[in-house]
Amino acid sequence: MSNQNMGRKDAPPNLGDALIQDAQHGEPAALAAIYDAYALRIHRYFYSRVENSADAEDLAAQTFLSVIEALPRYQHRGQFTAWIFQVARSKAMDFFRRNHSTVQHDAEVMGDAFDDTLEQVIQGQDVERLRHLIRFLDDDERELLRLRFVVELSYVEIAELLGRKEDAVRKSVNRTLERLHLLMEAKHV
Amino acid sequence: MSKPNYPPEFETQVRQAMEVPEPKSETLDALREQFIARGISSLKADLQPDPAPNPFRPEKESNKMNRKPFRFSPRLAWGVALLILASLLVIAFSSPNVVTALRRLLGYVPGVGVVEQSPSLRMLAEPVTVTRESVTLTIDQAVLTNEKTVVVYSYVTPLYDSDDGFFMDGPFGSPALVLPDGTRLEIKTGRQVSTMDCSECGDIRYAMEFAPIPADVNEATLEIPSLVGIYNGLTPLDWVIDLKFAPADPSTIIPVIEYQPTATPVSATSGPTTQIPENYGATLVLDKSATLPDGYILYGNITWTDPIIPPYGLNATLAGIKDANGNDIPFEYADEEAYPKQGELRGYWAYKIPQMNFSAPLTLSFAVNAWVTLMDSPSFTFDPGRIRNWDRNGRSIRMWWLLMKLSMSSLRNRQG
Repeated sequence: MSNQNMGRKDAPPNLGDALIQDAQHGEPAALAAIYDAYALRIHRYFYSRVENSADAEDLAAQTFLSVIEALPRYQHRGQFTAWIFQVARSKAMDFFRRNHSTVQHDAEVMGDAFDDTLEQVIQGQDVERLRHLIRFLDDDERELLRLRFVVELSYVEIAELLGRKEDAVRKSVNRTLERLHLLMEAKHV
Repeated sequence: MSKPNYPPEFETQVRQAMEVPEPKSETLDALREQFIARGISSLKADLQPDPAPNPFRPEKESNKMNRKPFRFSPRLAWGVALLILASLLVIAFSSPNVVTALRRLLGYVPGVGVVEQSPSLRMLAEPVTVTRESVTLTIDQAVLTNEKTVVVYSYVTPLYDSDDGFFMDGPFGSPALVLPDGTRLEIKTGRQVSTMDCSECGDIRYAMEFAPIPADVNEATLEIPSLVGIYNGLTPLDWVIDLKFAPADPSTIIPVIEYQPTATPVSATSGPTTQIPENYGATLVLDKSATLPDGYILYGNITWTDPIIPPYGLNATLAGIKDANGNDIPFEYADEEAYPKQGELRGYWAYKIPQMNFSAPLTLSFAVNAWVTLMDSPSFTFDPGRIRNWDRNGRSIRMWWLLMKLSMSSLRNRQG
């Protein structure tokens, strides 16, 4: 089995202590394994947040460069996924702080959708309607769904990343999904 | 936990609703190359600052002590390390009949490496030195070709007490060259280079590669947000240095001989740790050489075809050099200047021979370590019998010597 193109698969990474230590020493194989394990998911995360390829690619590049900078002081306790997504989330926050217009634009899009296309949302295809409804969620709820369904993090990894208990994360996701489902059902009435 | 109040397929719908387009593979590949190259140059142990204990990075010190020369990913849970072969590569610098040499317009620039020569080749007009807060940064070399721009810097810092170290988290930023018209060239890759030919250089000398600069542009501003190889907070940030370029002086460029492929198939020997007479399609090649004022520099690579050895899974290390009279010839590691592409079954090597006086031909002996991936997961059962002895924690303190032979079909089949 080759590790080639592992970044294009959704298999959860299995990065052990030795590999992380090797990466901290600049071993190319270990660095390659880390990149392959996370590149695709990092790109997905950013695209989901900024909704354009150019910025998503920029942010992914910034994230991986920061990972290199920060790796020497990372202490591996089996939470590498949470750590690397902490770096990614901080990049996203920097991005939105720097680009208020982008945030505004995002909000405007959501506002337009709410004001002008509610009827279309109701009558559209389920997935399309769901996409619009997800836009109406608050930031925290959308971030939870993003981490779970776009990045495919486990509940444990999300809990580590957000500093919450796994059970609390699971309940929050379930509550959000229940609400979305209710909204979807309501539109059918 | 109570059962979710939505049907299971609703999660699939949410996934579909949140689906995002996949990034381009070339984008992923380019970033991968940059990530690995940057990681190698920034994280190699010899790039790290002083080894004294530092309360802010306690994990680093123990890691350094335990550092192993090469190890492949533990992802290969059933990977097996094999010292599979040692090989010979014969090189005769004084006998062009032994290897077919093809002279191309390649040149070797100390501190930069091999570059393509052309009339438009330019270099740094003069070194630039900037001192801030007792840290002296020197841009000592730059080479501008039609293909790339390489800028080399080094720095000297005061000796820091280990307690001085502290970290500043981001934004980290990347070095960039800014042209007079505002065009910004971000760093593509960077690597540590030798300081041996640079008496003024500090311990760290770093070569950065950027996109080519147009032939009619002879100035640029180099921006370095943070120096490589030292923790943020120990040195000033945000260095801005104006650079001027001039046509290269041909006398400063050493001709490079590029060889036509004269591959030496790697021959297998049974090392002490393996019984596998298999060469995995490995081939060792001398790519090019240059005659330096004080010796030679050799560049080569090793490729393999057997996918049982993954990318980065095979490592050729020069074990020794003997001349025609059987005398040992000293050698030093040099910068390979190249990394395998994603998925490529290839590794690069480079060595410097720091002397000119020897009897050709030279014989180079390589040790090659391989990590193979087993396609199966060997298992076994045994009967421990009745366990009688326990320690105070209730653990068995008996030990069994199993002396079993494990069958690994993926390797056994290869023995034919």
